[in-house]
Amino acid sequence: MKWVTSLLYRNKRFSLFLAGLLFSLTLFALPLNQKTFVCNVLQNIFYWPYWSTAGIVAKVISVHEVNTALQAELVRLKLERITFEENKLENERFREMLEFLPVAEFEIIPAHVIAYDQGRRSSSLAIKGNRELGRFLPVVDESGLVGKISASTGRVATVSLLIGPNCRVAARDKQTRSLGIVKWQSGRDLYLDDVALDNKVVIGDTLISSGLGGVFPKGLIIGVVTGVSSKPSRFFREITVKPAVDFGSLDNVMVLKPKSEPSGD
Amino acid sequence: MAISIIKFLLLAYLAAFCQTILANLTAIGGVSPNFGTIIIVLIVLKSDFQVAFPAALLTGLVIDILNPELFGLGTAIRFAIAAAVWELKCKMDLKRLAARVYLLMGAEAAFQLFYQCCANRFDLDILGHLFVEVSLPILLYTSVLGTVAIMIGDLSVKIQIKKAGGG
Repeated sequence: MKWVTSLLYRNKRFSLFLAGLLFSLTLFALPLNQKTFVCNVLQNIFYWPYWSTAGIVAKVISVHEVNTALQAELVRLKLERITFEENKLENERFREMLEFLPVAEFEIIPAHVIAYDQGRRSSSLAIKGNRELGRFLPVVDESGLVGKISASTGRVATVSLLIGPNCRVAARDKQTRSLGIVKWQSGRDLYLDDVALDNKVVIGDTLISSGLGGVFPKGLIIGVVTGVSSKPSRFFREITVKPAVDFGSLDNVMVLKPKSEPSGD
Repeated sequence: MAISIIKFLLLAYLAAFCQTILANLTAIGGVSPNFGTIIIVLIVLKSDFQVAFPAALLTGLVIDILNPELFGLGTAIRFAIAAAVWELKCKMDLKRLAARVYLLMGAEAAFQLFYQCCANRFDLDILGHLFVEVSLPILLYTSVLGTVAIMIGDLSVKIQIKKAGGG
């Protein structure tokens, strides 16, 4: 035994190697639960700083990723909200239109405005419906009468607006029942023509289509009387009418297709 | 003595750092280099056995604690490899870079061979697959990174010599 210790003492390198190897193999020979315990203790000593740092970095990275995803979601939801609001308004407009439209006699074709006349003052516009659109069909929106289709190529049609030279409507004063012809002459206002001097039309009266012209069904709102003048030298009154429709903000319209096609104005 | 303990502690934390953060940062396609072998070979090449052997033992131990099931096996193999590298260092001329790189490659190859054989109980069916798909990529990656580390070490030595000569 003595010579072994003296050999080990003299050969330091070998002793150190033997000690290290025996130590490692002893650790390997330990039962698993003891090895696990030792490893856990040593892991907490040597690896804890890195694991905690890695955890913090991972959290920061995940916060950034979550933030980016939430921003994208926010933009998406904003766009969706805008769409919903648009749909809600459109829905409300359609509901209003359906309230006054003569649903029973007409097939209602929804359409939307795709182009305005490129002149200084719009007298026509292009619409696109979800079905084929025929000529001379009346076009309305939730406020009242818009005009009539003057040309059509399938689902796309040109609408002659009420505030243009190509659209005249047989009208009736809703209050006094006086008849006349609503037509455009100049500017933004319409004129109610052919009203005799003895017919009573007053400012504020609502004009509706009389249905006598053959194109427009009766009861569509045309506008409100804004001015009445009577000159004894003339046969008819001069009546100015403000259109019910805001022609500058037309978006969704309805085309009324009667069961029997109109022949023209 | 106290300085030696601090140095060994720093080495242990360096090994842990290499095995966690650095291994994750340098992983390519899920393959990380074996920093344990690189550290041990570099220490053995640069230090006396009285420092190199405990350092190799400590490095092996710190790396091994991540695998409690085989705790001690990797330490023993790494320690034995460190001793073998020491013996080769004493007998070979390692002035040339290539010789040191071959030594590193040999050390990693020996580690992979012994560790996989012992860990998988010499199951040849598994070993063939493991050597090709796991050990070989690690060996190549470790060799490349180890070569870079040896070159950086040489460069720092050259700078120190130059500074000493200039001074």
